[in-house]
Amino acid sequence: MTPSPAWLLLPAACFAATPALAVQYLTIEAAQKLLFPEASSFVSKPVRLDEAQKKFVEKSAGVRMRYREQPVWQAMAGDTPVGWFVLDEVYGKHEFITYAVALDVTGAVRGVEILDYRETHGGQIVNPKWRAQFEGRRHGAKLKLDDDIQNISGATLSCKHISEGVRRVLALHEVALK
Amino acid sequence: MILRRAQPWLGTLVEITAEGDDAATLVAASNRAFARIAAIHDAMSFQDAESELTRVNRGAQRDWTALSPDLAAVFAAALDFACASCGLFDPSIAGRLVASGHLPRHPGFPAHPLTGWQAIELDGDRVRYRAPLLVDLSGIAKGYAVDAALASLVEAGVAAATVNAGGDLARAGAAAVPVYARLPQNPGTSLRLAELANGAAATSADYFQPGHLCHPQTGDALCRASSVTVFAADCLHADALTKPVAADPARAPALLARYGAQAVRLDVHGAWIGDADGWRALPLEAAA
Repeated sequence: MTPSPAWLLLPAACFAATPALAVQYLTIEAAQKLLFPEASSFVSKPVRLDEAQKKFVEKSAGVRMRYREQPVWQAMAGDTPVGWFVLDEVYGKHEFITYAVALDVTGAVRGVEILDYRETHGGQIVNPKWRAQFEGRRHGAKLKLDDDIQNISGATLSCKHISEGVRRVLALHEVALK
Repeated sequence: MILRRAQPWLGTLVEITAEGDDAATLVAASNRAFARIAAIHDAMSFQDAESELTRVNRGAQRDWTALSPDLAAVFAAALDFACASCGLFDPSIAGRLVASGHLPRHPGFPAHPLTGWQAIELDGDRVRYRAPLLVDLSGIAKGYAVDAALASLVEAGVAAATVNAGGDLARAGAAAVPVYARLPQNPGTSLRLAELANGAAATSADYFQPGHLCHPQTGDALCRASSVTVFAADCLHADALTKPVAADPARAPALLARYGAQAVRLDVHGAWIGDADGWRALPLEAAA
């Protein structure tokens, strides 16, 4: 047998791992600091859209507004506004993502950071054929549940919903933050 | 301390994990690595009508077209790999994906693109197509971007780092980390496949976009209810190897041997590991 390359410990066995991937990347405060390192304070200025504004946002962004109220902070460097920090959520078929969009004073996107990522399709029953293989081997032991799965290969989720969300945030800026 | 961040790039979520003693170093290093990914994303997007790749796809139909250093490196790797895999990896498969509606048809693109990587002529930092072709580098550019971001993190002085672009991941550091792959028929559940110290892993599967992977020569769908994960020294090769290994398991051992790589195939019947010596069953065990 060919010796295993130095960079890989040969996978001699697989362990069943947990469903439902959930990762918390950043707190709101940490994301604010990353996106606006020059800011000295963040002033909470939540936006509440009226019916006309909501319609404008939905029409120009081409996506539905789930809520009328959006958490927004104005980033300040001393007394000077340096931009907006908009907190948003998107739901996909498989995932639920909380993220923040940083807009500069002209309304241009200066950065997007994911705060929280949760997959919603976990907890299903493993295919019976797969299960059968485990049952022959586990000798009454429970399948290993890892509560912090970090490195999933093949997690090719599209970021389409985030792109749509950013369009919605830009429309919200147009109608309520200019 | 560990800093974990994620941003949307390369059509997916890119996660950077940076480890070190100094928070400011980790922030600066991850900012730099994300900027590197953003630049590669902008240059190599097939979807973007104004990207460098789209301009090259337009221009190279007619004449020699200049390439930036990043694009020249990825074109060279793509052609080397197409040759090594006897065309099982073919960057000109984009023509077929445009015809099927999986990729956009930008203005100035040929109406009836052909496939055939041999008609791509690369001369250092310039390229031309000797047939009406379209090149999509996404099968290899994502891996290149992951490698570039990881190199940028290491240069910036982090102690260890992982970059994971929607499942194409690379790791640098003394301590090995576990790598998981989803069960093809139940993507909410993952299997721990390996421990990775310095190296990369990439998976091809179609559980989230059925039918988007196809055989370059026959057009048949690949990875139906199965997945292939490749472990290699870098992510560019891990990512590029997943497709030919999935397309032709019989020829995979020679290809894996050439790049010192290993593959794990998961399907409804179980798990197999492939390397230079061929394929054999990978025992599945529950943890005690």
